[in-house]
Amino acid sequence: MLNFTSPLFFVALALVACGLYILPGRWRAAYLLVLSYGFYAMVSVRFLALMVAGSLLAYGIGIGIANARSDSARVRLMLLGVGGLLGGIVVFKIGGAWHGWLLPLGLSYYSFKLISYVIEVYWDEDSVERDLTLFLSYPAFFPQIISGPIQRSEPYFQQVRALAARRLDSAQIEEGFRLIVTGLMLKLLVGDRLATLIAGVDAAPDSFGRIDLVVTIAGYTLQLYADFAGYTNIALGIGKMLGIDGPPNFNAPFLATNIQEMWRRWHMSLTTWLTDYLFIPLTMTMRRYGLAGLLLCITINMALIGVWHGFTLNYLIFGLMHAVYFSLTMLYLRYISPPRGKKAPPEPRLRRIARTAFGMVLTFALMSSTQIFFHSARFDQAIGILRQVFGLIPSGARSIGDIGPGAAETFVICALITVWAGCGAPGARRLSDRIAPVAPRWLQYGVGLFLLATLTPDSAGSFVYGQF
Amino acid sequence: MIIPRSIGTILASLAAALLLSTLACLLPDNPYQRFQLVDGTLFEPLRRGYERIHFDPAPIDVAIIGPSKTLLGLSAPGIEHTLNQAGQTAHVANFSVPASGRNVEWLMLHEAYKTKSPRVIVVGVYDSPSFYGHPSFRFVAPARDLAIQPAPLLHNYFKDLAYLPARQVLLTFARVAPGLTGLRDHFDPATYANTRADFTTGSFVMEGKTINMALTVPAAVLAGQTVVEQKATLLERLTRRFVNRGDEAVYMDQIVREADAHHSRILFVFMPVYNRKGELADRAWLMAHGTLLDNADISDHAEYFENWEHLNHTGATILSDRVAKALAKLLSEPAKS
Repeated sequence: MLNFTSPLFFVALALVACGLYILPGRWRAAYLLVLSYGFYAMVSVRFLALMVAGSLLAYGIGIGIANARSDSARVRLMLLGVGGLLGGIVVFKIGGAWHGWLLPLGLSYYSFKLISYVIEVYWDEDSVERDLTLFLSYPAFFPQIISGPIQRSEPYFQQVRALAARRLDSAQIEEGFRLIVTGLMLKLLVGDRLATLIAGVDAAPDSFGRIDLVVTIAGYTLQLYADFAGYTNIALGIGKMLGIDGPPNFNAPFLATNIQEMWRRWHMSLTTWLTDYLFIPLTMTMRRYGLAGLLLCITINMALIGVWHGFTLNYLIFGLMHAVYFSLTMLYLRYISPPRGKKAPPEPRLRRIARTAFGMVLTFALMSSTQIFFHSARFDQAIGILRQVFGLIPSGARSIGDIGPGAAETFVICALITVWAGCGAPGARRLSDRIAPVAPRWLQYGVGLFLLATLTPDSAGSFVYGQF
Repeated sequence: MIIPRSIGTILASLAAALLLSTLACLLPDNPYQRFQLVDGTLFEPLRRGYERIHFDPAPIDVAIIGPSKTLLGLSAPGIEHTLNQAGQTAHVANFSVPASGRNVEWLMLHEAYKTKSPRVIVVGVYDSPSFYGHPSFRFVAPARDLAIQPAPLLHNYFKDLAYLPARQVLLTFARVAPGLTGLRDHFDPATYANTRADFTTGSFVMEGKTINMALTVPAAVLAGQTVVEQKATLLERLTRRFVNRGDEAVYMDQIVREADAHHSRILFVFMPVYNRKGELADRAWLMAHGTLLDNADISDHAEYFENWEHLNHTGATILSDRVAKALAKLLSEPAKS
């Protein structure tokens, strides 16, 4: 398959993007559909058939809901659609976790798109899409198929319709190109280097010292961010080149001062999806149980975020740990917030800075602690790492620097770049503008491409979230 | 035609990246560090070969080049010993490296002539030559030899060239901070002494596989390993016919030219594989440019093979003796004019 990091993919992208703008407007939706199905068919024709079946089910259900004469029929159809699509995810995730089945590419992402469509139509019949070509291109849209972001149906349909009358948008193309270059740099130059070093520790974690193991655990979060945020930038960039803006997935997550805020900044397209279609309806239902009901909703929501990644004990624990952190944060924030109607007294600047910094570090540490379960392939591996970190079993004497020449320095540099990127890359835009008179944008991109050509590690390739 | 601003920006940035990459290719490097790029890989014998040429004061009278068949099948100390017994003193160095590709064999020969004067070059030949360049060539060849190759459109040309900017940036960094790259800028006699020079004896690990040269493999097992050469596709045949003759032919020419320029004789040694009496495609050409030692008879003897395409210690000893005898004759002849 053409990988989003392969130069050949981008040659193909340039050609298909040209094709899109050359084609008459009325053919563009069909063109996107053919491209997307072609891309998917390169992975598996059988799984393409599964996606087409799921899409046709959602399409039919959508029309059925819009045409239904009674509320009960609409409810039945909605439940049938959601149940059928969720059933597909559950079957394959269980098969993958327990029987080693191959997971269809992007199953979780396109199923969630289709589920959101069915629910949206149930909520508002006017959001039904009757144009089959346009509809089929929505779940299949190839820039978002590997790892999202999970785009909602309405913004997608609107943009593809607008695309029919649209001429090539120079600013959007350039922004797409910028996102692709920066995404590739974050993924290939930083994320994949961190991944190589982490793999060096993973090979024999018990031979490393406790401090190095703790640093590696922090590295899990950094590597995941560099990989996933890099991928998201590439996906959004490709989408922009084809005239479709996708939803953002990250908003400077390392600036979050508590775990609640972190979830508003991390994998946003999934969290907003769950908030809209699960958490809010669930809390409305459980309102009468007060705080206990709310805590239960949080637990269900977070546990589902966990098992969305896969039906394994580790992912469930990952979700439940987040549920505990999230709930404690919520209780703490309730405790410290002033009574209704009263304003909090002004806080000294230094104290506010210290509190913010402490919050950021603590949030990152909590996030990283959950990554032990997220990152480990098996439960006993995660427990082994925890036991070593807490000194329950002896640690080795190796350090990250022993993995290879320059390993410690590479780790530090990559970690700093990732933290900077994860804080929203402060100063990047200003620096770019400031040096623009000497080094115009094209030269800045050119340097980025040169760095990609020369510093990409040999082991670079697959995306962490590609497996979900 | 008016090019939209964004397309212009993208094209300009691609041009800038290309220009920067071209400039990176011109960055100077330390050849010794270049040869260390293959450390820890199957091609590590290249680094030892470089050290033998540039840091070991012992002369080289006979240089052996070839793939793993000659690395495992010819013993330099064994040949020296047999020559000594025959009353001839000669220093033999085996520069063979696993995997096929004549370009890197030519490169080692070219390197050898920089400091040594081998009188005879032993070249391992076989019935199924590779039309592709050696996978290690992009790591160890000087930038000039990667960029300007002796024939147009050699099969690995663009792949090798694409790696060049990255390699030169790494090697430039290695010149500034060798410790951070693990590429030494000075010769380490201890490392040299501890690197295996003779692969025809004992056991060692290659590509994660333990190879025991003392092993005798039953004929049935060897027969099961034998790979039947796939017939070339029409496209492959057309490519070889019209685009170029493949790296094998191009760099064999280079090897012969290099040897001729330094008045060295060439001994072509046919390296047999088990139970395959393949015919040398360029027999006439080989005989016109050197002496050909045919060893096809060995292919019948299962007891001489460690696996279907590599000799074991017994096979290597027999072949090394044969080569030593042929060398004794060539070394006693007056220097080639």
